[in-house]
Amino acid sequence: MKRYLLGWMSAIFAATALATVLSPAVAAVRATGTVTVAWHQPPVINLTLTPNYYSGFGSILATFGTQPSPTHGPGATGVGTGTVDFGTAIAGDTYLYKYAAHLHITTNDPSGFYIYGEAAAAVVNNTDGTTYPVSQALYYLNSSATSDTNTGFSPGLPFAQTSGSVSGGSDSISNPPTITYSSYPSPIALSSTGNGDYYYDYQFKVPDTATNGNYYVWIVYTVVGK
Amino acid sequence: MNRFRLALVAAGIFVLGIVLVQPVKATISSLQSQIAITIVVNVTPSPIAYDPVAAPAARNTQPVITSSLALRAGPPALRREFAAESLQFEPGSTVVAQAQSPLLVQAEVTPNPKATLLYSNGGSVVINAIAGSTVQVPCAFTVTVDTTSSWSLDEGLSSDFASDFSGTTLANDTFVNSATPLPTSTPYVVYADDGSKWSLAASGDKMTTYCVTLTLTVPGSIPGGTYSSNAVYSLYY
Repeated sequence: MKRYLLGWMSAIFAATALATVLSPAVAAVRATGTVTVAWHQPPVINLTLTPNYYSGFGSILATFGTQPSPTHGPGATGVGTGTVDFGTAIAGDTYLYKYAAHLHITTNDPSGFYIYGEAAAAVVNNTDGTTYPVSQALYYLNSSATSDTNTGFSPGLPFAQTSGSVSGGSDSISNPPTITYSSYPSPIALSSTGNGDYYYDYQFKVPDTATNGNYYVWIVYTVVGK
Repeated sequence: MNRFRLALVAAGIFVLGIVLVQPVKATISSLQSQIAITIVVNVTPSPIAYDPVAAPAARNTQPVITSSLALRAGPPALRREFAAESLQFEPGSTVVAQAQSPLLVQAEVTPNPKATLLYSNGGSVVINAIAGSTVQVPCAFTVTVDTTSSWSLDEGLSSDFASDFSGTTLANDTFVNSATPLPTSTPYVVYADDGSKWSLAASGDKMTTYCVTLTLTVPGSIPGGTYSSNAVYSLYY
């Protein structure tokens, strides 16, 4: 009986093995395909930000007709240095600051870059702590390397206060801010080539209700490759 | 008789003086205060300019990331292609190159001795419009004159929004705040285009607040983008 069972088991095993070997369907099951792997190599981007980039920089009261000579506050220490310091400004008046900022951008990205320019926070009166929306106080205008015809009444575009995550910028001297973006805002300029120079004047529209004091706001420029 | 003549001459000089002084007085009124309200216009391109049907079709046929796998040995029912349009990488794996630099802007603000003469309730107005459409902003801002002198208030736009976007596309209905709006709006004059002249908005001799309703008609040919100009109000007396 035992030998009988062993014989049957051997026969079943042999038949199964033979069926496995001879079955073309099972023998042909293979998955093949192609996978395309693509990656993005981040470009190298250099930004040089120069304040007061040309002689004759400074603040001018918004005036029609002949323009007065520019002046500036003590923070604007010279051509290419210091801060954009409007100096004394009267509440309710509008001022143009000529030759405020020059952005020199070089990249190895042939498709170009975006420029974002935003305020790290609202405009702050450092004297009493009051704040004012930057979008109603500070504007930017296109300029050029050595001249422009802008006045305090020329059309400017408002800076926005960033919705990104801001580190630093809590004072006006030694703590410059950085902005970390989870999504970028609308660019203030873009380039379809790898390098570029951008020149800006600023306008300061002092709020009617502005209290006396020393005001400041940080503008943060960010350049991102396309 | 001589005294009578002298009296007549004196009276004549007096009357002549009054007649002459009045226009002189009118012409010697000077600019007392000037304010500007920035008008920012965000233009969305006209929808006629593109075919909205094309976008989804293109997206279906030209996915950004695709891969396919054929099960050659399986039964026909299993021979399917797999598309991976929705394949997403983890956000942390996306490296964006950027450079950043801050710039400090400062000012020392002092009070305006004429701030109470002429003022507005806002420094800027933002108008969002589609090219080819007309947008009205009721009482976009107010302008207040606060003096009992005999005053006049001039208005106008400082410049066009752009070379192909005239400032005259913006009209204003300036009416006393407590009254009803006027039946029609008047296009602003553009100082830069119209011979460096303003137009008279109002005159009076007491404190008055005006509501300014803006009506903007954006030409259909205007490209999308942000534009601006300044509505300038000048007080004379």
